[in-house]
Amino acid sequence: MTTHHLRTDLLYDPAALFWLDVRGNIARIGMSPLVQESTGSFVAVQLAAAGATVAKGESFGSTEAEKHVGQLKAPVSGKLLRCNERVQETPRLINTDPYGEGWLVEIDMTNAAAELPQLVQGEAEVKLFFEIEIKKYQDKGWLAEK
Amino acid sequence: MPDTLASPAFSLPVIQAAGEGKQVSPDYVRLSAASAMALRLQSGRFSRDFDFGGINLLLNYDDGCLSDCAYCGLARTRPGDYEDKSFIRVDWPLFDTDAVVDRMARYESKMTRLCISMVTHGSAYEDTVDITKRITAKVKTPLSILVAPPTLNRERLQVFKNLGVDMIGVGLDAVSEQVFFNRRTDVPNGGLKWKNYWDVINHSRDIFGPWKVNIHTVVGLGETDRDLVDMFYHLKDRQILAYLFCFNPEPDSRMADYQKSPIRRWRRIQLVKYLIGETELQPETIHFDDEGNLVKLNVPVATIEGFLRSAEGGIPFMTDGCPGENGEPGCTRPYGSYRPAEQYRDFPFVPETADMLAIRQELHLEEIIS
Repeated sequence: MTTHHLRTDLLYDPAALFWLDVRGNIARIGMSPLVQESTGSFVAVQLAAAGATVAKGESFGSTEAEKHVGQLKAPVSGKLLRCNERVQETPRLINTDPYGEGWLVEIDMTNAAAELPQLVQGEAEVKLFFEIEIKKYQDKGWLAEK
Repeated sequence: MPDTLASPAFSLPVIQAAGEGKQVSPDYVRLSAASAMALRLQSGRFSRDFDFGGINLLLNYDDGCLSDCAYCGLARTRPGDYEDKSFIRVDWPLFDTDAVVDRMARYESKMTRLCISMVTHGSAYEDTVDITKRITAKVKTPLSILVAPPTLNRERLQVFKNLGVDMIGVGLDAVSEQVFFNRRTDVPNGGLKWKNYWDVINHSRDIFGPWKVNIHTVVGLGETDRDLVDMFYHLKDRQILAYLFCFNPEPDSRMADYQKSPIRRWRRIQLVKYLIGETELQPETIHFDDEGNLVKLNVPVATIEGFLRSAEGGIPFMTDGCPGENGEPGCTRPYGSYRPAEQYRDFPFVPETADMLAIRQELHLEEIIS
């Protein structure tokens, strides 16, 4: 959180801390600054092919950082409309521009009415949620100290 | 470039002063990414949660390391600026030395082992002395130095001892004179000498005592299994520790296109090395073919199976490195010999049950034990 400001106008997945930019039935998804910073420099990203269907909680890809590998678990159910090819070619985009060029996938949601209310949203709720999460990450030693 | 690297006789290199205002040692050092994370100087996390307190520092110079080893990320003729080079395939971010020492003091209770890695450079000895003084003034965690033999002699090693250095490591890497020549001497800007390395090993053994000197041995530089086993026995006889490393090709190095050792060979070497070091496994029980490949281990199946199932069964497959204060693994270099997405070549923690099942499959013991 040292180099990127938290956007409070987006929705956030409380499980994996993805951000979701929802427009109509389409959700663009990416990693929150807290996750990108605490994971370290990304060196590889693999995303499922566009057209694949994923249920909430299912994997739509994986990432590898200097010292970490992880699965990307879908925050909502739906069909993968687009996968960001640039981020697969240049994984560091997740670190350098997590809300912009570092986005991961766009999903055409199939259960939005039930799943969107489960996301963290609204400026006050988002701020409070991340205050708590940052404290957790600090306690785990995943964040640099000044 | 110091004369010592070009001349056939060993002599100490000329000290070269760093330019003013440059971010070089002793006022700046590089830290392994894992060390920077452990000291919370850099954000990051490991795939699995485990305690990590082995801090590795690397000297930093604008003109880098003057050696040119075929497999090393710091090699002089490897393309790219020194600042952008990796070492054992990871980035080494640069920090103010005093800030690093302050963090060591703040997190001393979590530290298990500290290590300064020298590079072959004219200022390396004096700067290592300086950094050692800064560390020992504030931190009690045992300190090792991974030395650069061309910059040292007996007197200088004695100075390290007098300053409170606990252990000396020597990155011999190549376990036979021929492999050393091929990878470290007969290279474009090479000139490292097998004899020089052994002189420093012998002086270190005299000064630091039994089991306080360690030799880095790399599997995959062109040596045979017999070369490795002979070296393990030789070092055991000398009461010198052998630390095992898996060759991991550095991009753009002259060995970038070489393959790692097959996992089967690597696991067997890990096991045999442990048995040589920690048990009374006799040389005549280990059989090789004409090419020096390990083909048979004349040990009862039940003995090996029993060991692998025991509480100590995972230890041979853990990272080899200097111990912590109480003898526990102190320098565990997570993801130093493999990417996080690859299987662990050496484990920075005690392998779990699922890990041991995979290790047993990788060993294919039925092929060498009857």
